Amino acid sequence: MAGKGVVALTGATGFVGGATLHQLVEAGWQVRALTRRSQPAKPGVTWVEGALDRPESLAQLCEGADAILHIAGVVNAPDAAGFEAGNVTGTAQLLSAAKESGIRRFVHVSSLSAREPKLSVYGSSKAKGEKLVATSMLDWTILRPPGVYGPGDTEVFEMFKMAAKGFCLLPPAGKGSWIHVDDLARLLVALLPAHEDATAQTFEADDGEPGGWEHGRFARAIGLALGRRIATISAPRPLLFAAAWGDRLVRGAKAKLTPDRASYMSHSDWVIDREAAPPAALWQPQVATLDGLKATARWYKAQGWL
Amino acid sequence: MTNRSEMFDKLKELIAPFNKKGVELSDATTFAGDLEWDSLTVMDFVAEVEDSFDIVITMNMQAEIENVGQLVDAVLKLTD
Repeated sequence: MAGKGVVALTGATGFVGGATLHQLVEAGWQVRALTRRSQPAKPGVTWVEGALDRPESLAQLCEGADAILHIAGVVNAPDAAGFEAGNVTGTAQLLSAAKESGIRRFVHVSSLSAREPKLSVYGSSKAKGEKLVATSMLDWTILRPPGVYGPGDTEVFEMFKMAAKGFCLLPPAGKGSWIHVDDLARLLVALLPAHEDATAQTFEADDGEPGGWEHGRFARAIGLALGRRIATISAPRPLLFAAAWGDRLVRGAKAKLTPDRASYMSHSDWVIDREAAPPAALWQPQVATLDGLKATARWYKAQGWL
Repeated sequence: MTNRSEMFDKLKELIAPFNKKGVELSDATTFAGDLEWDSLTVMDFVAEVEDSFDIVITMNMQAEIENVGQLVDAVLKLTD
C-alpha cells in the first residue's frame, strides 16, 4: 500500500492501541510505537522503549513523525496522583515533545467520562488532559469513546464471564453507548490525516444504536451472543460502593472495581451525543453489535477464557 | 384465567411497538418471515413479554415459537 507517513503512537501494547496499531500498518502508515518492555518485531513498526514520564523517550518517539496518536491512558489507579501522572502530566509531556519535534497533527483519545469531571477522579483527569490538548495550538482532534468491547478486552470480559453462567450483575439502572474495538481503531486511523472537518473538534462515536443501550439490554445481548438467556440484577448504588470497597480491601491497588469507578458506573447516562459524531463521510460504524459480540465470544472461547 | 382471544389481544398490544411495518396479525403471522424480526428484536420482545406476565421463556421454548399463535399458546400455558 502507498505510504501515508509516519505516526508516533502511544498505548500500542494495550487493547485499543493493539487493534489500532494493526490497522495503521494495514493502512500504510509507518508506526513508531512507545513501549515500556521490548516487543516482538512487527513489519511497519519501530518500537521505541520508554514511557510518558521519560521525556527523552518521547523526543525519540516523535523523531521524524508526521502525526501523533495518543491512546495511552490510566484507567485504573490507586489514587488521584496516579490518574494525574498518566492522564494529565503524561499528555502534557507528549504535547511538549510534539511541539519540539515540529509535529502539528495530534489525535487524542479521551473518554466519555471527561464529560462529567465531578463524578470521578478518572473523568476529571481525562477532562484536564482534554483541556491541555485543546489549548495546545496544535492541529488537534479529541475522541471520546464510550464503552469499548472486542477480542482481547479484559474489562467487558467480566460481563461475558457472568453471562456465561446465566446471570449478570449490573450497575444501577442506566444506559450507555458501546463501540467495537475495530470500529474505534478504524475511526482513529481515519482521523489521523489533517482534515478540515476534524481539526479542533471533540468527537463522540458509537455502534450507531439510537439512544444507546440500557445496561440490562446490553447484558442480554451478550447472553444472546453466547446462546443463552440470562437474568440481570441491577446492583443498588450502596451495594456497588460496598463491593468496590471490598475489592479494594481484597485486591488492593489491583482492584478492578474501585470506589472511583463505582461512582461513574452509577451515573445513569453514558450515551454519546449524536451531535458530536464524526462526519459520516469520514467514518461510520461497520460492526453490527450482535455480530461483534458473537465474534468476541468466539475469541474468548478460542483463548480458553470462557 | 385468560381466554385465548384475550391473550391474543394482550400479545398484539405488546407486539405493536415492534411491528414497524404495521403487518396485520393473525395466529399464522410469523416473527422472522412476516414481521421480519432479527434476533435482537426477538430478544427485546421476549424481555417485554416476560416482564409483562412475570414468566420465563427459555431459549428452547423460544426456538419452537415461530408464529403468533404458538406464542399465544405458550404464554397461556406458562400463566396457567
